[in-house]
Amino acid sequence: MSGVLPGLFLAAIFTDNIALTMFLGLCPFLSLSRNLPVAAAMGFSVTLVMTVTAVMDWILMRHFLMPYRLEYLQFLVFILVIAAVTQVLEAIIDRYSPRIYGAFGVFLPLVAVNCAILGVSLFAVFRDYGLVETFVYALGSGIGWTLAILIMSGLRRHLVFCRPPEALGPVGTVMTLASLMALAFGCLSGLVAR
Amino acid sequence: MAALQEILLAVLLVEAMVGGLCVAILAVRHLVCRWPNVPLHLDGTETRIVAGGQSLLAAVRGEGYLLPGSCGGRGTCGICRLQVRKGGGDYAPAEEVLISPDDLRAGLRLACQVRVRGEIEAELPADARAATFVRSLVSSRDPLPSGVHRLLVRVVEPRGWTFAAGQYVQLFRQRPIPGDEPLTRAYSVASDPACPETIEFHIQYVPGGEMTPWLCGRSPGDELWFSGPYGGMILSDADAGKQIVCVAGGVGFAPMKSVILSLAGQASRQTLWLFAGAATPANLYDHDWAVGMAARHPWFVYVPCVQALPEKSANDSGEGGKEFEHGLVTDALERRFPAGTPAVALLCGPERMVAAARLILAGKGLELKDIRADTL
Amino acid sequence: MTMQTGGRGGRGEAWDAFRAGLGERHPVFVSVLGICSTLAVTTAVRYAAVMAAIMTVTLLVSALVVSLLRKRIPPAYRIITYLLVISTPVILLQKLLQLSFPEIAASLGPYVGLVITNCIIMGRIEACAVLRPPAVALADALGAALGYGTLIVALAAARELLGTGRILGMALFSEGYPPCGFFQRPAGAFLVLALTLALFRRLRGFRTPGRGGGR
Repeated sequence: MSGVLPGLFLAAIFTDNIALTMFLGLCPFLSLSRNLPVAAAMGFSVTLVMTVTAVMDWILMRHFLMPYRLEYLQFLVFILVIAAVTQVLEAIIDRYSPRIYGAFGVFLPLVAVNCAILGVSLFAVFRDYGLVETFVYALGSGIGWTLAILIMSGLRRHLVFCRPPEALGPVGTVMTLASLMALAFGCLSGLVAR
Repeated sequence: MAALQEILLAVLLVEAMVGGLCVAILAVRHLVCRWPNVPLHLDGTETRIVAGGQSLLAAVRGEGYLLPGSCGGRGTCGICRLQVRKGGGDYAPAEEVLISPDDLRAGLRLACQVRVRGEIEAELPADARAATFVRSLVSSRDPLPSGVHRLLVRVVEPRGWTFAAGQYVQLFRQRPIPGDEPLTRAYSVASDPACPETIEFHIQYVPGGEMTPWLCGRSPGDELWFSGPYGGMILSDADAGKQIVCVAGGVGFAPMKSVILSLAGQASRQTLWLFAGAATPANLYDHDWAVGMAARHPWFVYVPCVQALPEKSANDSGEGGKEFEHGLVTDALERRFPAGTPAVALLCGPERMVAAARLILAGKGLELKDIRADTL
Repeated sequence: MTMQTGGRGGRGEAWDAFRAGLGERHPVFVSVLGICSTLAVTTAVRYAAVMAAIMTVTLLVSALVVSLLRKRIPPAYRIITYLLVISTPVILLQKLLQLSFPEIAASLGPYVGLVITNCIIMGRIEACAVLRPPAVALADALGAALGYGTLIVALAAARELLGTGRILGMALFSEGYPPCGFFQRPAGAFLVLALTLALFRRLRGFRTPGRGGGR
């Protein structure tokens, strides 16, 4: 089992990238990739919340819902967990690190409605991951999402110097960039032994 | 039976999880959000020990200083400004929107957006120091044809409460408790400061609003709490000898009425221009009063402006359109007010009107310190 | 996003709300919402059609329920109320799908559940259903659902045709057509959406929306 974990981690970052391959968390990916510090702050928040909620969701799913055959309640329970975790993390960060709170605090409530968070929890259940695998997968996905939004915001800086086709508009341009990034990320499949 | 059991089980399990999560949140809040008490220095003269973790607005109000604010600490009204000399942390996004970059650099902050995390040195605005809670009783409420309600109240406590012409107060929906964040809105006083026991307000009814439907439902004898007086849109002794130009939009007329009454009481010789703007003649709710005042006092120049002139009807003697300037109040100001006149300006109305009037008056040679404004 | 507040008559208002979802307030093109699922389920027309149906039913049901309850929902708890209202039809539809089309259910996987966090539903509820009577809310929801549904079916048709040479499993080209796998891949999805967006903007004359996107 342990031999699979590095592969799972790398796959979550690159070939199974949550934004570019799974198309999750695209709303903030498009709207918050305009400047680098904001993108970094959002990426950090997403990674943190994603890892914590995926592990909690896995525990609740395996030990509370599945024994009673109540799997269909997973959406409801997962959403509640995400909301609660963002609240708790916000309180903790606010108290112990005002500087981090100043930089990320505004984004935590936004993360609560990010579909990438729910998506990772659902995928972990859907693919029957174990606890450790879920943790590795969620952490990798968070890092992968952060990497994607960071690269995107870096690329968007350079758009100032280009004149993309007018019909594409700002969103279409970013979408085209995302397409090229998806190609690039897909080509890293050699990294991951299947 | 099995189905019933499953429903029960599902409901119980979800309830238990929700309960567990709520308990977890509360426990974390309880364990984590214990802030130490910190010193708050006010004006460099006094030091109070306040609880950490709250907003500066709450801390200052908790110490009994009635800093004004209309939005309940959400950072949207921009009224609770004060100068922070030390501490206070980074700017919140709301502050960058509502305060100019120069003022921000000079330390002007929105008290509701500053978290008390450590030692803070702040300066209270003078009006926040002087303001008190006031208990009053409604004496009358008249709905005027234009959707404005004229509210008269009698001050009960504290006795001897005074205000200056042009100032405003914060009306509360409930009896305010110090440290609480009650629903409140700013209203200018429209009555003569020489008789501060009876106060007049002009309230523009806003359908579906949080405050005005309630206010416009008060009847004589009802209790009404407010705090004040606030605001720097007032005349000082240094303004003697200059002309006064008042530009009012809608119920921005209220503070101007107070200024005119106060000057009339002092047998003033200063020329006062009042440019009062409204959509239609009916919305100039105190037009007859102003016309009467202008007839009695030669120093008072009344310029009513309407955007839509009344349609000529049979029983109208054709005078209907003549007494009104047509167009925006700022257009009339541009046309009628002579440039180069030494004057102080009082502006009260919608933000765009105030901004436009400011530009026009600065163009006509008024000094910036002589243009004082309140936005509605 | 603000609703127009003009006091138009009930029918005209409902019609306007319906039309807006297909044009000036198109959920994907103009508001840039709900892109996640738009791209994920468009590898084949039948997935897209099922997704469009699920989305339409969920939007209509939740808009109707929220609109009926709009005066009773306490503002502080409205988001969680919306989530509960939205998740009910989604859970039922997922069960139904698993029973009737297990193969499609397995392929769509978690994306059915992710309809709950689809910003289009939340957006239409918050911008319209919670403020307007049921007729207008339903028209608005139907407009948004049709705008979304037509788009994803069209995207899926393009991707399936170019990527596999087939539509709904039927071969359209002769044996000589080499399927272009790129269009079945994620990168193809982004590109096809970008080009469709360009087409939409071209047809509407480059009118830049008031919000959403922008560099």
